[in-house]
Amino acid sequence: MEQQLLNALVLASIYVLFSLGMTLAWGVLGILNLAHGAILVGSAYSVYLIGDDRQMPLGVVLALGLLVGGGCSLLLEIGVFRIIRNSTGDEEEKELRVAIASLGASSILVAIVAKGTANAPFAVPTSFTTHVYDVFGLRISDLQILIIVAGMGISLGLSRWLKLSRTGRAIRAVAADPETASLMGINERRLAAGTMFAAGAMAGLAGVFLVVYLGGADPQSGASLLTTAFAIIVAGGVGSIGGTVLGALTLALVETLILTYTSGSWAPAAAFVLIILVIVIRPQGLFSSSRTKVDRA
Amino acid sequence: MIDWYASNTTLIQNCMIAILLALSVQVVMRIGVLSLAGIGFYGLSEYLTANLVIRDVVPAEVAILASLVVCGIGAFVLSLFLGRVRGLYLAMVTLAFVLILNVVAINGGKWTGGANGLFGVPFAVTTAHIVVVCLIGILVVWATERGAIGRACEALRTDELLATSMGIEVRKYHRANLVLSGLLGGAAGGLNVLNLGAVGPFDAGFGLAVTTLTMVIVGGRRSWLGAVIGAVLITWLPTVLSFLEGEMRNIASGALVIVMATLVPDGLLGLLTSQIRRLRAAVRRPSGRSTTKEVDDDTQLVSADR
Amino acid sequence: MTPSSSAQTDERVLYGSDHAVPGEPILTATDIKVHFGGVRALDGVSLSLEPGELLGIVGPNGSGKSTLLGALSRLTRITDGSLELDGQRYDRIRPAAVARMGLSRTFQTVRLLPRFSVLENVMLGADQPSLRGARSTSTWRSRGSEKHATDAAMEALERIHLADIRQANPADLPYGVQRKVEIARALVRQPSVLLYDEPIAGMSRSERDEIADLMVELAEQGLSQILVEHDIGMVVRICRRLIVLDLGKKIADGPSTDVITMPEVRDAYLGGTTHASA
Repeated sequence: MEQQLLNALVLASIYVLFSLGMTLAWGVLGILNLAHGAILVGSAYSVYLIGDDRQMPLGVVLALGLLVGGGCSLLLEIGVFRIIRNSTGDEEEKELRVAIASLGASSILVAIVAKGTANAPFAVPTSFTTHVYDVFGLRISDLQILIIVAGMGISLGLSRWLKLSRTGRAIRAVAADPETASLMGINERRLAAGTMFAAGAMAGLAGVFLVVYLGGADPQSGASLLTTAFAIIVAGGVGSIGGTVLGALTLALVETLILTYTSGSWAPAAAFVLIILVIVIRPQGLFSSSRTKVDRA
Repeated sequence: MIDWYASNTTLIQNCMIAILLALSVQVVMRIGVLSLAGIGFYGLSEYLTANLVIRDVVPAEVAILASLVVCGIGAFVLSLFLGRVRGLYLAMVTLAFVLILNVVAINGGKWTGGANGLFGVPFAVTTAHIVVVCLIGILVVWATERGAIGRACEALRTDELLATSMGIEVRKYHRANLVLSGLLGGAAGGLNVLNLGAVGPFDAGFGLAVTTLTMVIVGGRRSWLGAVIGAVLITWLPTVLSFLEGEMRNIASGALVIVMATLVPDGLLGLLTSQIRRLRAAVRRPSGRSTTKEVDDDTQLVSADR
Repeated sequence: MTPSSSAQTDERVLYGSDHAVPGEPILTATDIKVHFGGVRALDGVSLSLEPGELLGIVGPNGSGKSTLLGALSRLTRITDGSLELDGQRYDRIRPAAVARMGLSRTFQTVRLLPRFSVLENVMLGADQPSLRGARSTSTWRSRGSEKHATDAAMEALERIHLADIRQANPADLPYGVQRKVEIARALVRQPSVLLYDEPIAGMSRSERDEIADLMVELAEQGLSQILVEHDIGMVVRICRRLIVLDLGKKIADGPSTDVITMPEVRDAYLGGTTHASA
């Protein structure tokens, strides 16, 4: 049982890295980036391409994934999302257009990866080999430790940074009230670019972790991760980091239990059911106070 | 002509089914709602119709009608369930609905044939059937674009508060359009399975949702004509782009979606109508009618304390 | 005193209600409170509107005038209080249904649909007539028809002398003309009560006079109206009774000429000792 909990924790950490970016983009900028999953897969794939069968150290591989992911996301922001944001139309319609455009971007990214891999799973070559430790009867690998530390550590760090730093406060101001924030001289463009880069970077990180952890990834796996992330974000409350962590832990646990004790083919349904339940019953999120920004419902 | 028809029959059939699917998405998008529920009901109708006909419960025509009724009721229940949910949330709930049905289909045992799906469905539907149903679908959507209903839909798309103040029950119109969306999807599903003879758990999944959305975005979300244009274009695109290999086509359509959603949100139809409008205005202007605002020479000081 | 008794001329009574009992108000609001997030936009306001009356509501900025209209039209949620139209309680009835009961209104900002012509915008009002409007047409079939909507809209446009711009795009029209179109749209519904939210802003002097005359004429034809306005001169001129709001409360309710001389009213506008400056 404890082993399962550990697996769930690792899974949750990867989910957290992936979902944090999406929840920030949505909470701060109103961007539902449906290409986020493709960016995760695409980042891992580019590391595979760049690596060219060279065995690179884990640190390099992770850094590359981070940069590519951030770069892709930034590109989307500058080339697509920003243009839509600045066009005429009401906010809700623009949000939908952003989501639809991101779907187009997702198709492109997935197609590139599928083409390159002939639609077969691919792996990221790395010189890293895992060491498994035995801690009180529990088998835990250093990779698992790294993933957990990365996921939870970055969440904690991000949360504190948002609270304490000037830029962090600016971000929270934009999330709460974009108009007033711009009146106060907060540079929305730079903020948006930074947020999207960070979001993509974390997705890239999650992607490399996932591929190294699982030994390989399917080019089409971005889509299912998307609904997973959405379930987590919505359950935790859009824009809430703590909520995302709690949501990720919950969903990862439920999925792991389903996989362990049943045939597992129902596992994907957990995310979908969570989405439907949360949105219809408590759209501001299960773990949030009712003061979380919820006007997008 | 006959030769062309014979060698393109499948494409024509797919096109008609695609039109129905595109209409199911367009019919809610025109009031500002992004709902993929029509895709879900497409899949549901495929399985329901297949089961009814394979098990010889009822003849094919009755099977489709029964599926339609179930889809209509299902869409109505879904709309009640959704309540006040709008925007991105609604879009994702409907996506979740589609994906849940996929999972149910995989795990459905003998009712759905599991991961393999159902085979051996009689080919009970001809191209003529498909064309007729497609035309009926177009007719119904066209009818709801005219007159009072059309004006009400446009009003509640633009300004819900105003629509309400004019006596338009916003929720009622949302529900009605969602039901229409379910019926259109259901019709497409029933026809498709009786035409192809088989159904699989991923027929009505993320891929179909994206493709259908692409059709409406590219063709135009404002009117049935946009849905038709989009469906025709996207159905025939692979043929036109046959010099491009498989994945390149996805890249092309993805790029098309980005361009449309970013720069031409009303699609090709929107582009066309705005050009026509501009031409008309240019033709009218030389006749001397002024379009400049009149100068108000009575500025009211009282209004300054606004 | 009220104009409604003089409405029984040879002309058919176009407006007003079938249910109205002579002497009883057509619209009653009792102790309306609208509180949100600690703000008391309306704090216990009551009013009554007589059939065929043209009632004015004035008050400084932030006094709650628009909120009051929102509460009366049910587009703003009320925290407490009761509303009655035509003898029927409606504080729990959905706003669209209230509109169909016979209540029509204009808005502070112009809300015309940019993709429709002026005619089509007014036809929107004709599509969902109030109960009264529905009864006034001859057959059920003609009520639902496009022709009826077109005719009714044309009639409303002709009423305010805008028939010649019926094909125009609202965005091309001067602001004052847009506001007149909105009034036509509210009128075509043949309501029994019409609420105006600062309707003459942006209109030229002649347009204002035209609308003022129209309102008086409508009152004589039995339409009960509430006019929220900043132009106190106009309000005093055409409204026999005036209500003054300040900070969400009613501070005056009586004959216009008396009310505007009240010291409390002057204080509210000029910021006297009893009134905290904004």
